[in-house]
Amino acid sequence: METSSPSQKIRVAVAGNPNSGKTSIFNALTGMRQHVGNWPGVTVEKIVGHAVYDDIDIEFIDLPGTYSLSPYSPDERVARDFLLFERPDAVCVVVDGTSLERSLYLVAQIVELNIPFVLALNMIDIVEARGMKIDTEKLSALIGAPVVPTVARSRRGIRELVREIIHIKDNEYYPVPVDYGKETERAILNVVEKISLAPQLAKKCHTGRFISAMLLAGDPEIEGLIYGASENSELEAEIAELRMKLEARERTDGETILANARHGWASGIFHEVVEHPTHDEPTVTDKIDDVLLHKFLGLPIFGVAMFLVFMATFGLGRFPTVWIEAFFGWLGGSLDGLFASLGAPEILNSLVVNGIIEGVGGVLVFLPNIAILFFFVAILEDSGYMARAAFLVDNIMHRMGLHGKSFIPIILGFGCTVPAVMATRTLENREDRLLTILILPFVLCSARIPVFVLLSSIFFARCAGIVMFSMYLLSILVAIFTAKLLKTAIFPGLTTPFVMELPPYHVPSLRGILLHTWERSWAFIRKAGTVILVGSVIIWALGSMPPGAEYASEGTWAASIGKFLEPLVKPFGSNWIGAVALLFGFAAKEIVVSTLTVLAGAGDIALGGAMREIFTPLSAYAFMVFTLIYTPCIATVAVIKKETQSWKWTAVSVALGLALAWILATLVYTVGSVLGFS
Amino acid sequence: MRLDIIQDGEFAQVIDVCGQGPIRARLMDMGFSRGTTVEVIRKAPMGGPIEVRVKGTLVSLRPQEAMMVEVAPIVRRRGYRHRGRRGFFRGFMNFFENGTDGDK
Repeated sequence: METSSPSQKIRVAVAGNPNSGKTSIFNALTGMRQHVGNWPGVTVEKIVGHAVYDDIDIEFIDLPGTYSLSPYSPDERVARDFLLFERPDAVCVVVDGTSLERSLYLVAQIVELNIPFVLALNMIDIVEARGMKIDTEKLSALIGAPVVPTVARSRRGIRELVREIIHIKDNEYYPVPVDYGKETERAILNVVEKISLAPQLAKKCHTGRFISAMLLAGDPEIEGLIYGASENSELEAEIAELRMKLEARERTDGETILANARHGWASGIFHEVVEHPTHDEPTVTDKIDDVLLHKFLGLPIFGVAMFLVFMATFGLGRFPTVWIEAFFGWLGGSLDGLFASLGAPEILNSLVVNGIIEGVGGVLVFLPNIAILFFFVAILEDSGYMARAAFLVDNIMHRMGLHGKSFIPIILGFGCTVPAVMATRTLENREDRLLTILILPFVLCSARIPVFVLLSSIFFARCAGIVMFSMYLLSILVAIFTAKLLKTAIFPGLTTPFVMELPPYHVPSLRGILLHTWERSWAFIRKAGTVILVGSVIIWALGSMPPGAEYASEGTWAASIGKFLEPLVKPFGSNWIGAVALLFGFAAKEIVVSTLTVLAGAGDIALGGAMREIFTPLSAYAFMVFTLIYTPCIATVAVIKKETQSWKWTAVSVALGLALAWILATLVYTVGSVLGFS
Repeated sequence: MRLDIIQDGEFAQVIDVCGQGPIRARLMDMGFSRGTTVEVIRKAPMGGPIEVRVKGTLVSLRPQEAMMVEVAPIVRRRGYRHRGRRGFFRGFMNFFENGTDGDK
């Protein structure tokens, strides 16, 4: 850090357990707004905020929530690596006062890092309300760092917290590390010495004590880092010997020795500083859980909650959807008129009106539904109920080969697959994540609804609702079937642990919820502005080329491609128009509708009649089945690539979708024909 | 005795966390360490996850993971669920669960 510059700069990491209110403290410190969730590990990316206090420029880094510095998930690894190797000037450790004892376990490890830190004792209002008393001065003396009671929401204690952070270097605090006992301490000293003798490790090991302790515990990652960096295998052998001796003497493994000592340290301090540390009185959370997690009532309540969320999503969403439709209709019409009056070339007019407005407008129509769904999901997440939902459904999900936490991505998938795939980050295990990502494309996202609405209203007017419902049912069945299939075929014997904290309930803040809704909706709008815009232009181009051809007539390139692909779609009763629509559907499912209407020449005759020329009721249903199952859109493919970091799995996802779609659509068509439907 | 066979509403003291690998470390990080008192709050029906209070926090885990935690039952202390409910849902919930209006 440059200390010579006129205004001083320091870097402060904000660390803490998941659900400790870490992100709220971060927001209060920086003024930057960012999502506050209740899912363990909702903050995945590195989030940085700046603030200037007393002419000091402080850079705050919001680290993912972590229970310890032995990472269990990629999120926790981010936090650990930052603290170990990027050496911030100070750490602000946020601790939930109501779970002080457990949180002190993390503090025990941070003390060992030899980085100055300040402890923010958060949610102190709830602590007080529960009749607990925490002696902060004593706590401060015992851990050797300043302690500031805070309430992030009302900004209580934030000013003091900043003051302590700024003056951390001037104050005389000497963190007192955990005493592991004579034998272990001697072994640690031994390892510290051995590491410092290897010069190439000197840079990495500013926290010699912590690294040494982790090596004695046999932490595989630290071992890899240290032994990988040093070229001498002697070091490894020597440390292994020390470890074996120690373990033999203590009659347990190194990991347990350290964990027990740290818990002992935490527990000792906790009982020193807290009055009434027992929780015999049921808390508000206990009382709510008695009902919401009730043996028999829990699942029905959850089902009703989900049902209401969906009713609200599509009921309330109807009105703004109509307005947006009207707006784009008006925009297209007026631009058409404007171009005509300006004498602009016909091709430009067609590009803007037929290509861009039709394509992008067709997607933005879903924005209200998606935003409302995300709004309710944010309420459920921030209040703490989502973790309960995972608790309630884990049993069922587990039988399907999934994880309780897979449930939330699946719920989001009914809105839009893109944020759903992103939400799988809460799954700690890579195989579980992959499995969930692979089945998400089968969940009926709202973009596919217009295809089903269009076709079912034309072909199944009397029972459109049942047809629609059958799509949802099929979607769920295919997802379950694939989950089972993949589980046995690709990930046999995988049983991922389910150990999850159920955070205390709290009333979510409106700002946090709106922010979360906005972030996710914005991701969708961005998709409309980029991928779908490009897709629309390409489709328009294919539909207009070669020059001179009438838009979307039989002489265009699109028609040629469709005719080339016709043999592939024949088995489920579609013709070249269906093939083109499905091909373009890769850009986005909504485009299937516009392609169908455009290619069928709906301008000339009524839409229903045009569609009846392409499909019979049976082939329309088979077409719907295909649309339901194959890859949702190019944006999904892009996000799957981004989240899996693997072209292989991305290809598997697309291939699986296409294969299953073709098989099922053909099956429906063939069986239907045999049974005499047409 | 293993944690998964402790009845809901009962307390137990952790003796050791068995097994190995990251899940064991995770359990220890979440507060399951020697000497810690845990309260089994509820069990989801049909072999679903178990909810446990440990060091003032609520943690849910499947019976498979609970099996890894070796505990000794504490007989004298009983959880709040055994002392009868107070407030709004008391009568209703007790009736629903036990078929009577009173405590177990």
